[in-house]
Amino acid sequence: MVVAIKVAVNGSMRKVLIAKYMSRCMGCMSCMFACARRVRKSLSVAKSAIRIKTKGGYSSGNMVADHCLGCEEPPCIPFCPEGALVKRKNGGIILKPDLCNGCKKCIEGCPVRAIFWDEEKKLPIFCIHCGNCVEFCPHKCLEIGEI
Amino acid sequence: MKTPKVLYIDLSNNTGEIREREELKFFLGGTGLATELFLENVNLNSHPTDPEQPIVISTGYLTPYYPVATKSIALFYSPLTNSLGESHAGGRLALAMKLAGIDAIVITGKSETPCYISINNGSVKVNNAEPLWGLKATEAATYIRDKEGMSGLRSILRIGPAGEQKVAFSMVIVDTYRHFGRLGLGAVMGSKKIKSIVVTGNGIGLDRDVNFEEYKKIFEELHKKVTTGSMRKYHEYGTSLNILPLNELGSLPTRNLKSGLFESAEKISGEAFAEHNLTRKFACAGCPLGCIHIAMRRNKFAHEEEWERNEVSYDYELIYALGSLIGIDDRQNILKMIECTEELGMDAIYTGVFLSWVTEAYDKGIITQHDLGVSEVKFGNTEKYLEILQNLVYSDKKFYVLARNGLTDLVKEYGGYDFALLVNKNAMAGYHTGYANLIGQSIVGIRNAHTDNAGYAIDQEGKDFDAQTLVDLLLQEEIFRAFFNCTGICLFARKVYDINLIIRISQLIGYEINEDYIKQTGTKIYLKKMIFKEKTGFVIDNYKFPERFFETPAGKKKLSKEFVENALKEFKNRLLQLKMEYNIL
Repeated sequence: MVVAIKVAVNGSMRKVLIAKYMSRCMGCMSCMFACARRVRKSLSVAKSAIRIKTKGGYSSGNMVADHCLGCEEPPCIPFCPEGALVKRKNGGIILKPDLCNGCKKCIEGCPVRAIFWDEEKKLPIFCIHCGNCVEFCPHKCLEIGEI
Repeated sequence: MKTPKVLYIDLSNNTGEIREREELKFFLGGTGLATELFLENVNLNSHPTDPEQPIVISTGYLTPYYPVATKSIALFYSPLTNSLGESHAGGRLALAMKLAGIDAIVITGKSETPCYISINNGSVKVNNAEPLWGLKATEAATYIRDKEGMSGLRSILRIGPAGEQKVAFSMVIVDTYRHFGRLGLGAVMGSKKIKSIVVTGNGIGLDRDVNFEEYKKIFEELHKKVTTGSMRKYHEYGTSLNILPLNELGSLPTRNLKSGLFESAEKISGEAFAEHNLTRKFACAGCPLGCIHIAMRRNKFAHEEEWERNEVSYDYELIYALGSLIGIDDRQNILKMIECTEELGMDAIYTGVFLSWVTEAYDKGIITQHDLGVSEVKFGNTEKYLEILQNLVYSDKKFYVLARNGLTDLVKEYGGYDFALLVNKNAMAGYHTGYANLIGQSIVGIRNAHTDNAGYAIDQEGKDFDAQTLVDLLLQEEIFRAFFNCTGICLFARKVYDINLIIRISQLIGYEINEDYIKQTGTKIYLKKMIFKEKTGFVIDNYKFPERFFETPAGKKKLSKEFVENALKEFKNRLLQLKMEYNIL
């Protein structure tokens, strides 16, 4: 198997969530339940920072995972008018909730649909690349890896 | 206990509203809640497909808080049995309903023109589905999928042409590979002109004030339990692993149950499907087990290596009904048959039982080429069967008009009841194992399904139970399942979720139940449904078993009518005792 390793131009390696083997995904959503439970401390799977869906219906092919790719230059950051988004050292975003005005512009600014919305807290949901979801994937589709 | 939120949709008056039904909270959810809602709304004096009849869909009270709590329960007035209709489906529906903030849905009335219903966080929109009417179940979903948002946290139900034509054994397809398969919910949806129902939600209100550390610990223990040990068999080969052992026992219904042994069992076994056809597995949302097995149907449609392909889900019951029962031993042909029932939207088990009866009736000369418009109907002839199924939905020939009501109407006209594999008007599941299966499906079972009380499993213990013990075991399991199906947990995980565990995890999220409550609730639900069946005309003394069940050895042993009669006497006594004890008459 060929695994593409992208070396960051400025030399800083990022350690992020990678949905590597999605052709093995069964759509059980255990990763989403794990994220909600372990990271968000919530019983609602809607609070997850990863979303599993079909590529276009179950019979059409594989599942896909919408999640933060840990961009080198996160395009969502400039969309925030309040400076509530900060680049995380190892990849990804740290949200400063006190600064967020709930405008959802970051969601629009993410080209890979990876920012979700907490309807109750009125705050965006960002993946923190902690790997809790990885532990619960029965087919080991996910991993934390360096890019 | 939590007050259930019920979404009422009335298509005739174009209304939709959520009502909090506090007085129903003691029925928990799932089948308990659904039974109450069904009995409140059903009208025994009109036909099952009349507009006023309800479709009730309910979710379990443990969904989506624990792994494998994935089932939604539909209750309806069955056009197939003219009695209680109940069917369970997995997929994403139960989760989507909970995310939309709804515990149950009650749909009454009828749309004037074909529609699809969008339910989003409790708001309801009835959309025009005129162009979708007539489309295969598979095609209809494609358009709706593109139009509606929230991919992933969404569930789509749809019917095929069989449901539109009110075929009494038509089904509802849930998220492509799961189904409300049994007893004709497709026809009820079709009679209301509903092509599809889409449910989406953002999960507001799902959080609970719980001892979070304990909750997390139990959830994670359960996640481990359902993905290890004895549960692995459901993931590895799935239910189709049963083909060889059932055949070994002489209990795999073959060629309209002229035999319980299929000489080509190895070719259609779960092991053979896994080796040659399995391409992937899917899971219901919230189930790390993943028992949905998908095979590639591959067909060369022209010279010059022209191929088409489709992904089809298979299970034990489908391989039995559309394989051994109708004498098909080619896996690709079985997949072709499954694909056809998916597209037209028909219960695969009933379809197989219908075709196997047609084949024998044709062979005996009871029905002819003139009736069917198809010649040379023989066991194993896939192409003829596909033709008959198309006719079943689209032909105006008298035979097919009757067939759309099910075998009960056909045998009234043409005879042949004694080789119709019916268990109180429903089609038998793939187990000719013995008394517990036969009595469990035909008499004790509320839905006349093998999953009601697992008689097949009692038989497979291989003990010669006396009639009294057999009836006790069946009732005990039936009553336990009547409660268990309130939780929403898939029956595959019933051994992981024992009673003590259910009590503990229910209490953790605010349902104060105990062992006595479980027994009482299960019994009450069972009795209410049984009394409904009796009101629709089910009388044990008048029930006649088709002879075929006694002619062909069950598990290599011929069944005696005398034993069955004794068991029925026992059952009648036990039922009466229970009714008196619970004062439900």
